[in-house]
Amino acid sequence: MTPNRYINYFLIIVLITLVIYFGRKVYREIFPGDYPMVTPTAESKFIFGENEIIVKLSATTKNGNIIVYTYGPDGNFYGMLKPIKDLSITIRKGDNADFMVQVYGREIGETSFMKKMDRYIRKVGMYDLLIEAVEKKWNYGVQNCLYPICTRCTDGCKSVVSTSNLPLVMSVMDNGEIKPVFRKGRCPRCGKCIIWCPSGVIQKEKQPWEK
Amino acid sequence: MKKINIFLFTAIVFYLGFIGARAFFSGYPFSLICYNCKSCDSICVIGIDPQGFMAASVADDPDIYIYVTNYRIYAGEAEKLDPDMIIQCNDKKIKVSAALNEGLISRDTEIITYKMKAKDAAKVCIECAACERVCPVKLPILDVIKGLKNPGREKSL
Repeated sequence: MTPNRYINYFLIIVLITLVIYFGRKVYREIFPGDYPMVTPTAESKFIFGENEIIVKLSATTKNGNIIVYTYGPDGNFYGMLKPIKDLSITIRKGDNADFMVQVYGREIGETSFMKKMDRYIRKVGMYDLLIEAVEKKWNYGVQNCLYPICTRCTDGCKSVVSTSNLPLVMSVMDNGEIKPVFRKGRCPRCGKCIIWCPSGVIQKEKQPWEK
Repeated sequence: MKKINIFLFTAIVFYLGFIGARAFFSGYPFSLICYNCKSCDSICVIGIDPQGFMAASVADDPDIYIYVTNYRIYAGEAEKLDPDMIIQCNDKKIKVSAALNEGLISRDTEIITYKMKAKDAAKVCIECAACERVCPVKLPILDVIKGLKNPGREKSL
């Protein structure tokens, strides 16, 4: 072998290395975002009075409204959207439920809204229902997620994930609240649910160093 | 007769042109194609008539009154927002300031609204986008709401 040949081999190797180095694709994650996280509802304390129920909250919500819910004799979820004032909510006699959700264990069935435009289709008194819920030990409380009034997170998820098996589903919690639940393995971390959630319930998961 | 026809035709053209121009100036020219089908009205849980937002865009006037028939708010806050807001009180539709002056309610009473300014309705809207979902012509209603809420903001792409 002549020295020229070595030089040629060396140059070829250097050339290939340079082509690979400059021609390589920069590695990018398809969805470089963070996993979503569901924030817990504020703590609540129900004070039952003669004609009204006062709910004391430990914190307010992003839009100043919260859902007060209770389960009914039919096992369904009844709720109403209430404004928060000075970290408290007042439920009076004559306050009617805004919606009803059919619940089967942790699964959710059909939703019906009680009020259309300015009239009620069906009147369900929340005060009486809450009193009955306390007596019969049904679940009741407050939830910061505005489901079923708002379904922005599931809509956003559907617009990104094409399969019917979504990474984000609404599920019934142990205390009766309805909240979004994520399956991390399937979540593409697109961040749409975080951006679209109007009540700020879904947020970016905090990394260990951010906590 | 011919002169009257020409005058009427010109007047109509000017009127329609004026409406179109106002809609363009508002920045939401698509609001012209809302044909008030009321699909969005019946879906809004807090009783907002989103067609009102479209009307506000067409008129380029955020102060027009629109229906918000199921929003619970404290009277004090409602008065602060707009004293002329119309509320539902004892099956009567009355201005919040009048109801307070007549002693029908106190500032701590939770009331249900009936009509409020488009810009105030945008503030109380929870942005669930139910109206957008049911709109048969897929109007970006949420964009109009966000525009009314924060005037001068950059529009989302």
